[in-house]
Amino acid sequence: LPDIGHQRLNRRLIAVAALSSNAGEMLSGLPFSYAQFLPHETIYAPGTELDHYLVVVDGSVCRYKVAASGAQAICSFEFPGDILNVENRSLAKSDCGARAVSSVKIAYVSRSAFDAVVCENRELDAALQRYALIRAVTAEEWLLNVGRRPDRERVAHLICEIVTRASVVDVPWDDVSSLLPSTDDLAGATGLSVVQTTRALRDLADEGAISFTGGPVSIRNMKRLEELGRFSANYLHLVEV
Amino acid sequence: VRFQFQPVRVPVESDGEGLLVLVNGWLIALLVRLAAEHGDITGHWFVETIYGNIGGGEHPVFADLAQAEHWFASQFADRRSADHLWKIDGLRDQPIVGQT
Repeated sequence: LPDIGHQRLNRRLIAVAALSSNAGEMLSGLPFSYAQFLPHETIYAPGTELDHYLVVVDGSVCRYKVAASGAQAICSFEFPGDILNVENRSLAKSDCGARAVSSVKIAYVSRSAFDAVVCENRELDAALQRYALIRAVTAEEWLLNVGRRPDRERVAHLICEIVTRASVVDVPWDDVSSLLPSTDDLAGATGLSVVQTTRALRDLADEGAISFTGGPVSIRNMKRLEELGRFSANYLHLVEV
Repeated sequence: VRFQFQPVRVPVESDGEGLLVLVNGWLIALLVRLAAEHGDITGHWFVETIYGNIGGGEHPVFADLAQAEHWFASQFADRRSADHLWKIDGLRDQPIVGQT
């Protein structure tokens, strides 16, 4: 039986690229090792050259960049099955750093061993290319979100994306709320201040879409949240939800 | 030059308590008092908006108005960050007072 890291990665690639079980089996021969991180713990700093690909097994991670002033922006959230540094298939260094949002288990697989397997398998290669491109177009959606959506719609849209992406890898619905970022991290990902983010969350709670009283956020009415965020999942290009 | 705080109502918090921050008749910021859902910083003053090139994109939160005044004074003291403000007639080469 393939272990948990292979299962998660395989499930993610099925969701984004309809990967066949055959290609998944090729991955299962690769040795994965595991490490655990606490919330807020740095997994790697921006500009790191990694020898391994890092796959999220449990929990959520953010990728971030730091301005000269020290201000941080979150560039993406990553969930079970996501490869944190997929850009390393072509690029030596990772421009973004990675930090644990919740408690996180990460699987490590050697870049050279992984690349050798992918080189032998056209379907797997295409799936990873599609996965990397979807990350890029998701970043374009974030540009629209941060640049042009009003506060409440912006925060609602981001939470809808998080729930949609987190849910595709067999995460039980009860556990999805545990993957939602804190107010601070939502602020970091929306370009809003913590105060503005808190107000947006309060408004979404007043509308009955989420539960929020200043602490963790949980989903109350997903349909309402999607309306308020004017959310369509098209840009995530999921094959199967 | 003195900082003046002029009370206004702002519809972003439940109690709507706000203050315009003025220097020599120039509006430089709007402060809003944070209501209940803001946790540890409930009751503190949030810099809602800043006019002029000060603060470096920061939106700080102050426990009281003395802290706010001190921060604005320090922004004026640093000419590099307040270059834009120093170009305003009536602010150039005048000592900033009003720190408590």
